[in-house]
Amino acid sequence: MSEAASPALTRRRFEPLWRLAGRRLALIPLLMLIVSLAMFVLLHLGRGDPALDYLRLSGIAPSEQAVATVRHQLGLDLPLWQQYGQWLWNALHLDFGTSYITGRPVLLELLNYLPATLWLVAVAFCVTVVFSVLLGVIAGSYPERLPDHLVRAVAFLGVSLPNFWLAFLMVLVFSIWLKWLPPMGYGGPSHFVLPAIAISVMTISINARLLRTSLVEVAGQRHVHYARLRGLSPSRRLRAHILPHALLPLLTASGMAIGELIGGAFVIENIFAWPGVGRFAVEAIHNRDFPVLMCFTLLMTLVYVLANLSVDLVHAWIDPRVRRRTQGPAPGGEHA
Amino acid sequence: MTLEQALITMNDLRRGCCALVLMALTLVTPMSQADEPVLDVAWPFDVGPLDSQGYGANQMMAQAMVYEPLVRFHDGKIEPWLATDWDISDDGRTYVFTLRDGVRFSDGAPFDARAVKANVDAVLQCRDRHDWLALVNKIERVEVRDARTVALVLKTPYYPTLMELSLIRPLRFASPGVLQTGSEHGDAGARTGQDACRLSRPIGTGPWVFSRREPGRVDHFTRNPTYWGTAPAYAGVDIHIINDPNTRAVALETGKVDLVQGTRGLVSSDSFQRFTQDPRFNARASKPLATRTFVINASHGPTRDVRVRRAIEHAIDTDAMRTSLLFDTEPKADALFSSDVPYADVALTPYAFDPNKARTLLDNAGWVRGKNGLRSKDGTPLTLDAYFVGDDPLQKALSQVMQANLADIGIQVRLHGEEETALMQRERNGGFDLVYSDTWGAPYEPHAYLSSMRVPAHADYQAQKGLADKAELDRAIARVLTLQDETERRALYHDILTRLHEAAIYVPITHVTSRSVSRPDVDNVQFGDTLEDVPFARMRPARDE
Repeated sequence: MSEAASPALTRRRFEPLWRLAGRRLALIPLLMLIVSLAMFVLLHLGRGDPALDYLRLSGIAPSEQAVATVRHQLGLDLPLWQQYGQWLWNALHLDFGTSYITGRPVLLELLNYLPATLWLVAVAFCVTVVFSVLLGVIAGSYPERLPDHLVRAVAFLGVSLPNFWLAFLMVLVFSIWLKWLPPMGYGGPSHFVLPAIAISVMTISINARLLRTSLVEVAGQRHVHYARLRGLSPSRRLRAHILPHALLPLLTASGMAIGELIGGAFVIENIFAWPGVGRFAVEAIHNRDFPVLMCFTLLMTLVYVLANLSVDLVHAWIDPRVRRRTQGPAPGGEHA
Repeated sequence: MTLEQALITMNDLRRGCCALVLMALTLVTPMSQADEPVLDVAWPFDVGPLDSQGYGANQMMAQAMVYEPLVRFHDGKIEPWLATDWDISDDGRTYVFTLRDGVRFSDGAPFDARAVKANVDAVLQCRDRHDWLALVNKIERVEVRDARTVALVLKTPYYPTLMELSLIRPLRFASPGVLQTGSEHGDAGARTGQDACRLSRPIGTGPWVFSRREPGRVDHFTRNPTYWGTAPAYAGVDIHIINDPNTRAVALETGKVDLVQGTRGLVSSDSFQRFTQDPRFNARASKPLATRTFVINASHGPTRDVRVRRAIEHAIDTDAMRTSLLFDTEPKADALFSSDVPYADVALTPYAFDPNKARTLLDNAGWVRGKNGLRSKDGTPLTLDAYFVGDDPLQKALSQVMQANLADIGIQVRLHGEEETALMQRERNGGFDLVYSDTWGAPYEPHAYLSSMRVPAHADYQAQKGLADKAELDRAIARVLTLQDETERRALYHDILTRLHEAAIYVPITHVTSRSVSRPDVDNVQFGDTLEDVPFARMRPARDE
């Protein structure tokens, strides 16, 4: 059976990857529609009135007449279904409206800010992967010994420190005292160091511990015993037989880490005066700038879905079992 | 490579990149401005669309850099600015202005009577959005008498006309070429945010010209080469967008910016105190510009009784608040308005901190202290609900001290931190016993602030509507705004401010000041005359000395 299944398995190795990608991509428009509707409902269910926020920011007293004028000006006096319908129709034409507060086109504004956030998250993601693997391998290679304890202590600290506090601490040490790194702003590689570390420390700490556990677990499996009996060196065993298996949970966690990093970036962007989308969005939330929030949510959903899809595809490429699971049990029984 | 070496290499790389950018900039910048320093300033938001008649994201500090008024408010007085002279008709309805000669907008268009009319007409065309300002509702028409003479005709006399013409918005002047009138966009435009009353470009007569926007990073202004007045010493002002107050402090500390100046938490009290003690920085506070208060609601509950309100006034230790929470960075307030405010130099006896007097007042009002230390009357406990903006740490701390002070005399205060807009809604409905509130500051005080007390959407109206003489007070306020006789006006203001003081509606805490922290390379740092403007044009690089 296994001989007969081999060619089919090889074919499946490529086919499902595209099918998986295609199916997931095809779902995106539906997902966006659901997200937009949910967001619209949530925004309008919430307390408060964007017209009042507009008046507050303008320093104008919220008299009945002033509120009515602004509501009319912002189109908030239309029935809800009409507001959503109009928004959807415009959004289908890639017109996400103008910000209530700045009056600028929302999509253009968000696309102005998005690259800075994506760069920061990408760098932080690389930092996370490199340091998670490094610390995880150190800890997993010496279980219950000094390196493991040290990594555990570092990870414990890392998950306990709020990222904004860590950010200020690093600014104090590296920018004010030592003057090594710029304290804020968006520019060359040196500008990325502090914010990237600040947002990735927590994820590194979690992932390093995850990898450590996974490494210890895989190291106890039979195929690793067999490799040792075959006389393979510890480093070869780690590279060829332990890491590839142990990294799989980390890969799954990385998908989630992207969300964590984006969330972290929103806080950190304020501290490092980073011209990213997070700072813009936080302001929009505070001001109930509905057009910005709608477009922002969709944009972030898209980024998150695409990032997760990439991680899933890599996962599926590395581990054929994932693809088998997505297309149901393979004919001819289980494949270990 | 060690980490340190790696970091140094990265720094070199950064410096290299900066040098390249600087070289490129030098090539495209005219030599006259390339060598001159630019003032780097930190501000929490980008300057916005820079519309002379715009609100929302339009930062008033930046609007004041680009647009100028007919008259300006300076040292408590009205002074000529784009108008060199004016004449008020006997009936107080017609203001004839003589315009300054030789003033041009930064696009080259002349500033003349037609430009004034075009701007005021644009405001009147979008009257709805400006009707918060009494003057806009009073203007009947604008007449062009000749190129340099323009007349503003009012429907009824309104003495604060000149004060309101000095405001940063909406009655300042943009080039007629950039004004977009309602007919171009209409109602549909307004609905989609393509505002009918929006400028196509920010072009004014002011000392600065908006040159470039780096979204989320810096807004660049350059010196207006055709400015009619004294040319600014700096070649430009770069406004760096730094949202977090601690990060603004770090930016000053590391030399990324030269100046942080403004109100509303731009420099936090603790940072400000630290900078005042650091010889590397110049840290100063302006004269009083507005007042922090707790507003007591005289319209319902136990605080309807003036004795309870007066007890609250005597029980709150505003000195402790000032020294412990504001680190002595703001002057004590004894009345609703600072004595610097026009017509507010009224001799009023402040409610001194005196808990014993407060207790006596409550005893006399029939509120008896129980075993648990709290007072009650006819089975009703003396419990008050106090509100503040939940994410404002200073308001929270002030409210907590107030809570402790009132607990001391047997009043239980329940504190509620609410979102700013939710609190605005609450104020409109009068659903509070006590609420934290700042006054509006110059040049809105006293006339515009008092005028708003007649509008139900204001916390002040809601708090005062229970006063027996509220109708009389409102009539007096309405009358004082139309009085042409200075002596009569002063006497009536005296009466209004005395009534408000005796009614014990406001607990004045401190006077809000503008704070300025600058590095030593900035000279002649001055404060604006209002909460909102920062006179960058008067500042100069220290090495010019």
